[in-house]
Amino acid sequence: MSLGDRQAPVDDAVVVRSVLDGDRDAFRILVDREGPAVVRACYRVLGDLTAAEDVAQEAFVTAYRSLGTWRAEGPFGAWLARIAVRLAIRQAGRHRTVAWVSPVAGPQGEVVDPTTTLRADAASDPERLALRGERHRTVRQAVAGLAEPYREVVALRFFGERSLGEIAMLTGRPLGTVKTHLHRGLARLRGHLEELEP
Amino acid sequence: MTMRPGSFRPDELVGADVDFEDAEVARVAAAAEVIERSTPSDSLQPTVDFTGRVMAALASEPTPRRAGWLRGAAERLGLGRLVASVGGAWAIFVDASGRPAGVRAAALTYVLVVLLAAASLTGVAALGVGGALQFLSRDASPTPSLLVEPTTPPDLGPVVEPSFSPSPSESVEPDASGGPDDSLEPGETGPSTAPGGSTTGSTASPGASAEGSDDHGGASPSPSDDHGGSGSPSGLPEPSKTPRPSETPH
Repeated sequence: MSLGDRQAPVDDAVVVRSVLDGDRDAFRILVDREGPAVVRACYRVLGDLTAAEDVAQEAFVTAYRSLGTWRAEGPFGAWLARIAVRLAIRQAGRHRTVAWVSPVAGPQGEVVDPTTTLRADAASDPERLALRGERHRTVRQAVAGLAEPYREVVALRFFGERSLGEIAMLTGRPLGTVKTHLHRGLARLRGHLEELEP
Repeated sequence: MTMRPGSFRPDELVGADVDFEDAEVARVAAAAEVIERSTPSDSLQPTVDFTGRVMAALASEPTPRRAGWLRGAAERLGLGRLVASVGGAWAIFVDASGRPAGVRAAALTYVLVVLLAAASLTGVAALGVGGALQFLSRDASPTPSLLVEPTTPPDLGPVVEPSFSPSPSESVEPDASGGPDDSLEPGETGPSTAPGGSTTGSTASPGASAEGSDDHGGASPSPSDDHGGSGSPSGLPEPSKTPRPSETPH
């Protein structure tokens, strides 16, 4: 029985070992499992769903190539998120994309095309949608403008949905240092985000 | 499969390397709240065919190797495989597609170390071959036997302890000294300068000289090294006290 046929959740390390042993399809488990979080992280950096999926795909391919270097010392998703966020930040530096509307899940949880949402909501409250998009863009640009290592810590914490412990493990820095970096990163952001505060 | 950290809480910053004031933490928490409110919701999902797209992109990729070039080098010995591992490491270094900087730096280090080792081994091998050829060519020279005979007193017995006597075979350059005057005790002589000096020729007989040089040349790695023929007799023992090599017991 292939690993992909199992119903129960399979440990990351088992899946990775299986892929390294030649079971390419086992990687699908990781894509299914981590795909949404990776796409979300990329979207939060880039603000464009199509670009986010492209970068997320590139992140998976990069992770696949480097799979042998994953040491299973932490969650696979955290390792992948770091790759994705880095790629997304790099991509954001290349192309300044502007997205005015965030995609929204439909009532059944299905994906709704952002442009459809825009058309649907435009009749009711286009100004609100535009403001929301503008806020998102301001935050993205502020985070992207941070210097390292603050940018990586802030991006992984808020865009990559990673805990500070995971970030410490990923970056090889002490937890106390990561906390300091997060604090200083947020303090630097505050000046840019003050106008957005309620 | 990890738990997501959820909304930011100020107590996440407890334990930072630096102690921050409460007011400062509160301001930072306000910034975090702005980020979270402005960040698209968690309900965002990739398009339906995203997994298929990724798997299709992977179809052309080779199966990833377990530990990359480093384990390959360790597991598979052999020149061709070593070269292949260096090539792989170089490819990792050159490839900028999202690999961590640490991995690329390690790959570059591996390439440099292997190249350095190869250059060192090549240099040592070249020196060794060159030295061996030079040694052989010196060995073939018959000149030393002509020089020693007149100076060695035939009456001295072979009783002189070899350890205190200079090696007659050493440091005699036929052209310069013409006799055992030039023989030096290894410990007293400076570095020899005449590479063309004969090796065993300074002794009365070639056969004896070989033995003598072995016995007395403790400080020199090889007989040829001491054949400086520096020509300076200072610090040399008197010729009369020099043991007669010809009578060195065989």
